[in-house]
Amino acid sequence: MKVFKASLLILRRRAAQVAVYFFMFTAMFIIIASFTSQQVATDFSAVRPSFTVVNRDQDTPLTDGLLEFLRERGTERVFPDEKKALQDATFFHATEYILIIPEGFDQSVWSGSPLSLEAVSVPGTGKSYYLDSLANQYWNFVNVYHKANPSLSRADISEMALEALSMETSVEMVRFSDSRPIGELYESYNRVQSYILIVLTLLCVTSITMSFRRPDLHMRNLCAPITTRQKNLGLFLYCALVGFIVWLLTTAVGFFVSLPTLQGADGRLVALLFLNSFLYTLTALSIAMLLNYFISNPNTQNAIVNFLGLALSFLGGAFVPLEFLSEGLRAVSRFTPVYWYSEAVSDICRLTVLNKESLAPVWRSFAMELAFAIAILCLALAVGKSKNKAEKSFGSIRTEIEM
Amino acid sequence: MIHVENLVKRYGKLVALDHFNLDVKDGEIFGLLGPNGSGKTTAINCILSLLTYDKGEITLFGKPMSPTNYESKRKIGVVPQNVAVFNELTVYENIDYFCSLYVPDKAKRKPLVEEAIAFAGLSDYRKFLPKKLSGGLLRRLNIACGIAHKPDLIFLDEPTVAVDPQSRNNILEGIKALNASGTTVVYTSHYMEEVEQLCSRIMIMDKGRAIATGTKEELTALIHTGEKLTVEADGLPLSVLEQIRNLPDVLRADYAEGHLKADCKGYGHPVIDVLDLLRQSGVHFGQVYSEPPTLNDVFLEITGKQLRD
Ligand SMILES: Nc1ncnc2c1ncn2[C@@H]1O[C@H](COP(=O)(O)OP(=O)(O)OP(=O)(O)O)[C@@H](O)[C@H]1O
Ligand SMILES: [Mg+2]
Repeated sequence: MKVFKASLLILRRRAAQVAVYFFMFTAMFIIIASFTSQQVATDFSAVRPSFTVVNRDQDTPLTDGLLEFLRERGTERVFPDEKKALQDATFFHATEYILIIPEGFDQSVWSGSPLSLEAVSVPGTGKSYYLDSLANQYWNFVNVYHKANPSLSRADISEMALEALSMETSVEMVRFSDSRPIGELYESYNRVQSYILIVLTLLCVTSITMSFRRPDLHMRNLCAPITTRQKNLGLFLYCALVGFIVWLLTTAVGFFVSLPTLQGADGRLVALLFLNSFLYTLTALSIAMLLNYFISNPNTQNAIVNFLGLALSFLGGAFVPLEFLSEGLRAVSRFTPVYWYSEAVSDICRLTVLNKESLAPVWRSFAMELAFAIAILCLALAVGKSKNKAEKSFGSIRTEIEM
Repeated sequence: MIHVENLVKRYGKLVALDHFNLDVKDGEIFGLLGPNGSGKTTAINCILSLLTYDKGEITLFGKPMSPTNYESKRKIGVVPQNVAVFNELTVYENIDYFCSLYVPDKAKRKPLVEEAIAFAGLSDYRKFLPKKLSGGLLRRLNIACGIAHKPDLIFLDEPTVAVDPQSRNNILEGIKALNASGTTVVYTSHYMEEVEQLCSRIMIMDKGRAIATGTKEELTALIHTGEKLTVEADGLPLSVLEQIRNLPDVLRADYAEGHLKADCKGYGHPVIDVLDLLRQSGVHFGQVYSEPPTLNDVFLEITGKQLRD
């Protein structure tokens, strides 16, 4: 208990250093968050493509329905039905999609053998395909309803088609958001969280072990009537507490900053992400246990912590998505715990249904993280044992010669 | 209280302790005196089971000492040679932490810590971090951390290195006070004045061996050198110096820079003889003084070298 209390006291003295990392990280993230949320807004308006409908037939309730349908999803640009004007419009990207309704189209639909529609789309934009498919869907519904019930008027059919389409699209909308059940912002936070988790855990743990491992202090502790077990228990408790607090703080920051984008997200997915970062904290703790044997002063501490934090997080795709890394780097990355952490983040954020199959890759990543934690911990214990043996002679203690 | 028999400790090829024997009795201040590298720290660390050793037996409080003999460790206080305190903890917190390893009860500990702070004269610095303390204050903190729990047996390994003379005297007085309250003290130093002033019994060490043990008087009686005579004399002829050297009670005599130095044998008192000789030879002399032999002389005579080289 004494060791535990002293550890907390020591940490308090070093809190400034830890706090700097934490606040810089948090501030950075909040800035990034405000950026991305703006981008989301502009992206949304850009999704409304511009279109032009040139009607060479007469205006009927059916064509009116089509226009109404397209106007809901795009911005109409009106151009005269002249070859030159239409060419210019597409050339200057004034419109992205031109639909030409040929003469007698309405009649051809009514008689059951519709003429084909003519469409001009601006090359290179996917949006015109979207509009094209919308227009086709509309006419398909019209066809189907007319065939099913020829006694219905054009206005009725148009109305029914629009209703059916709105239902269909609303279903489609849900599915669309379903394919990204967790917002991009929170996902990227979770990726970067691996960095701050490892940096803070390493800092907090090694700051203490660094002191206790100082040969002269170690010796003084050995003089006292406390068992190695009592001492290690104290250090262990400290590590557990620090790991938990670091996890809690970083998780809370990410959650609350991303909260606006998490409206309607599945709570179970968020819980899975919590669990994921918790498991990674365990891995970080065991890395800290291992590193403490190699960190003996604040300089090596800073160097190692920063290098490891950046390197691991880079390999794990915290800063650059894994897809952009070279094959070689990705292969290396697989042998780091952070890879599995990132994998789990990606998988969880794309879960649309929670069942045995969809969760299998997530569980696998979790298992890998845990396996890494255990393996590194065992390694740390082994290193500790051999180091202790070497220390039996206190090779590092040289009495200073002073006169 | 401490019994060490035939202790051998090697660092690789270097024999740091060579069949070292030691007996410290209850209630004494025992001094280990020896030059740098003579094995004082090694001896203490072996006694405390901080170091493994190659051969020998160590008994503390009548029980064999081992790294897991917590019962004995509880009764021991250690002030290591190097200042060993947490840089991140204040003066008070450091003392409190080390004391808590021996006295877990907070209520009991508090007065002990206060007492140690007063003992080391650190009352004005209790909230200071070690890096803000001067070298001497650091040493005092080092001592306070080792003695706060009121041990029955204290090891102090060169506690006064780099301490100013006044603090040094305070520390020595403090150690005497501790001893007066019944604490046994083992004190190492290479300052013979300190050991002479403080210790009831002294062991002189060299190259890992105990070369002599006893009270100061016993040690100085061991050697041939007795009184040491210095006479201020101008222009001493070589023939007179030769005559002085031939006096029966004079061990050796030298003349340099207007000073005649003569070491006398054991209990002989040749002062009158020397001065008579000078007067008869018509040599004018000024100040005359005589000193008793020191531990340095003991060391010099036994090992053939100065204690402080
Ligand atoms: N860890 C070590 N490894 C190798 N040799 C050592 C080690 N510690 C001490 N020695 C050597 O053992 C000898 C005795 O050292 P020790 O520190 O016991 O001397 P000391 O009497 O305490 O000297 P000082 O007055 O400088 O404190 C020295 O020659 C020293 O160089
Ligand atoms: Mg020493």
